Amino acid sequence: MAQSKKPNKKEEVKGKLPDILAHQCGDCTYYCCLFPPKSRVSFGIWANMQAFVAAIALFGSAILVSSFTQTDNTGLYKAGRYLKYLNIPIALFVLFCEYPRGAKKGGGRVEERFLQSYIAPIHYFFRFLTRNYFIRSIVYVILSAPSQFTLPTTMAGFMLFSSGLFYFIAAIYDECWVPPSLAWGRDSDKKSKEPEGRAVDMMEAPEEPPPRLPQTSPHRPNQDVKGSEVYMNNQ
Amino acid sequence: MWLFDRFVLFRAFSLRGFLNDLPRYIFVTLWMLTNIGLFIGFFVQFETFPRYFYFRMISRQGLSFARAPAAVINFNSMLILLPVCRNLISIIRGTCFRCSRSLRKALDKNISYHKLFAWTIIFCSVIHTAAHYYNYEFIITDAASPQRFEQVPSNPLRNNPLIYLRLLENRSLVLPLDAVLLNYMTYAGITGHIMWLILFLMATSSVEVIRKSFFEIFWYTHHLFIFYFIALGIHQFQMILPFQSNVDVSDPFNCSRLPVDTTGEGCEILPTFTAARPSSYKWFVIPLAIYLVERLIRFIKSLIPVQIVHVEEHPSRTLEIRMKRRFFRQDVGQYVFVNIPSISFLEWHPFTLTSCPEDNPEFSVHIRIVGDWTEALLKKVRQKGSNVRSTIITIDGPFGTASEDVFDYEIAMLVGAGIGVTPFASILKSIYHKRKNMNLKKLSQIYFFWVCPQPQSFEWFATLLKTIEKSLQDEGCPDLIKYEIYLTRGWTAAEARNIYLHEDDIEDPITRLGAKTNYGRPKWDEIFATIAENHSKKKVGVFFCGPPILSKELHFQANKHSTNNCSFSYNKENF
Repeated sequence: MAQSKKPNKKEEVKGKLPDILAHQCGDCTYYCCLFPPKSRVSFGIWANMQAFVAAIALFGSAILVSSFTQTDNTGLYKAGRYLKYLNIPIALFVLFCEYPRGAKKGGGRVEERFLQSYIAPIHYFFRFLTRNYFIRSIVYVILSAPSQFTLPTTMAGFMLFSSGLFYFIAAIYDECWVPPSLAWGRDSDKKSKEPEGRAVDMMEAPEEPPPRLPQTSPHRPNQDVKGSEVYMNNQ
Repeated sequence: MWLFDRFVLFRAFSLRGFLNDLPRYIFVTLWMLTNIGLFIGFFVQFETFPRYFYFRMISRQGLSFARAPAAVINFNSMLILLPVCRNLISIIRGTCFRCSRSLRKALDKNISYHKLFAWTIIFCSVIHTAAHYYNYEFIITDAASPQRFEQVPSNPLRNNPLIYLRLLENRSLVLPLDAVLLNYMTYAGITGHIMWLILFLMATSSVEVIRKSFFEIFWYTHHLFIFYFIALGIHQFQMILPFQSNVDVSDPFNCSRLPVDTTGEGCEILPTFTAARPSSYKWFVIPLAIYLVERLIRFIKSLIPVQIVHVEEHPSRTLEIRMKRRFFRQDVGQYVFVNIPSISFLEWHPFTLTSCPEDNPEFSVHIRIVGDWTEALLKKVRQKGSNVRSTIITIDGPFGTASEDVFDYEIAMLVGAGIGVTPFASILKSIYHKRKNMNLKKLSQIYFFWVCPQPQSFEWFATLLKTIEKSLQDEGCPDLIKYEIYLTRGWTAAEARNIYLHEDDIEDPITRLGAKTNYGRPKWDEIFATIAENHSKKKVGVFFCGPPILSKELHFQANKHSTNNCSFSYNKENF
């Protein structure tokens, strides 16, 4: 049978963010009225994507430029010869920070990156720093500075700068980073055994049999194609 | 991960399925071979041709690694505009009515081709840019240390390798080989960076997460492609790539090794250089013109007035809009693009048509309220009330290959999962009308399986099923369409009690249909086995619309249960 792709270990509460997180995401302090406040567009996910790509590009170009020796005396203020090595840890740091994709503003299922569920708890632990997008935007703008001193890293650094910019826009719209699943939060032990209206993935059968009487009732139209588990249980 | 998907697909392989998709595989293979051919061809050209010899001495492999992906980028930039011309594709599909159906279905996957070309452009841009960064390194090396040319002691080119670059004729600028200058102050440098930025913004906003959830970001960012093409055209206009123009009189392989005042060896004439002319624009000018024609067609079609006949709001935030338009002929299972200028002037959203061709001239779409645009539409409908018919709406379409294959089989198995059930509204209505007009050809029995997590959002479809069920009963063939509904979601305690209490009712308590709702995932093995038993010596067509994982499962089951007696042919529909 076809396998479900997601790990089954942690259960997810899909769709509804609990109220505590709604408050954490700030009240209605919109600093900019360009877009209507009720818009569902969340720039945070786009900025996350940009920073992810920028980190990969920065990593690649930093490795490239670290192997160059002749260009060390060129470039802005000749500082490139030392600063270029700094780009590698910066790229890895940004990659680590950006890897877990946060929840969407309006709720709904978020497609998680591969193995994201092991990194997100660390982010949740530091949620003071990772939750706020203002901090992220300022940090990324500062971190994109060393990349401007060598040629190949210039474009990648500019991409990081642009992601910082979009995080700033996202912060203005009161977005924040929320773990896509709350299984690692302090609420995990309080999770009820029978969640109400739990949405099951289409290929996963429900675990309990449905509440049906034995199939002795005469009013049964359309019964010639027996395919459901129900009929199997009652044979 | 997609690797697992490929493995599952391998299990579901069938010759018929492969032949069905053959045009697509052929096209992608040809395209891949062309890319590889272009890459290798241009690489070899720039590595071995004598006219690039002197420049190669500076840039070593950087030149070839930069120009080879550039050719691939040019080729893909040319192709990328074509799959997006949906009106022209419809025209091709329409005029090609003698072509086999699989050829016409290959045109349905146009957006996936578009994505393929786009990712190739990005991949090759990375190689191109990295090669140019290597070029900067090499150029500065050679400008700083002419020792590389030691092998020719009295060659005047030895002491200053820049001389022969200063022998450029006429048009192009004479540039000192400063890397920063080349990067920021040339047309190529500036436009290259602009293109990188545009590709970056377009690629990051085109991933599925953003496309599905925040469509506006994707849509408006994607219109930067205009600037991409302008930048690509300007990219080579400064003509700073020099090549030797008198290779026939001064063979570089020979003459670069000899001192300059050697006589009798055929090297008396010094090499002269000219600049490479821009060639990128030649690749994409024609497709750009085709795309402009396409936009013109769209604009002209949008001027045809569309009358809204009826707007109805269904439970669970679904809107039904029935419309009429001249020059609109619909087939089963097609889709249209809808644009409402008063909500958003530039946005066109695709919706599957839920009416059937027999409804002509009316057609309808059912719109689920999931995003900004649809929310605005709902608000407008609620505000305007009966005046909503005065809203200006424009339709582009219909697009898509018609799913007429349903009528070619004696038995049809239709499986709709989740949102994929929408095109089946059109198909079921068409079947009903065709039966009434005695037009049903071979089709004698239809099994319809509706798999959804919850019936909310599709009450309109349940109502439609109920209407069809009742009409068929009234007309005396209640068994034409046998349908089963599977709710794969769990249930709350209240629902469980409700189901228990209404166990013996004729109508199902959840869907209000005659057929009882089944809970859980359908057991496809048994379903296929039962159908194979009941219909021996017949061919059964399986049609599916929904998430791909279920598609692979059905494909596998169809192959497994196909015997000489009863064969299942799985048709993957592109709704």
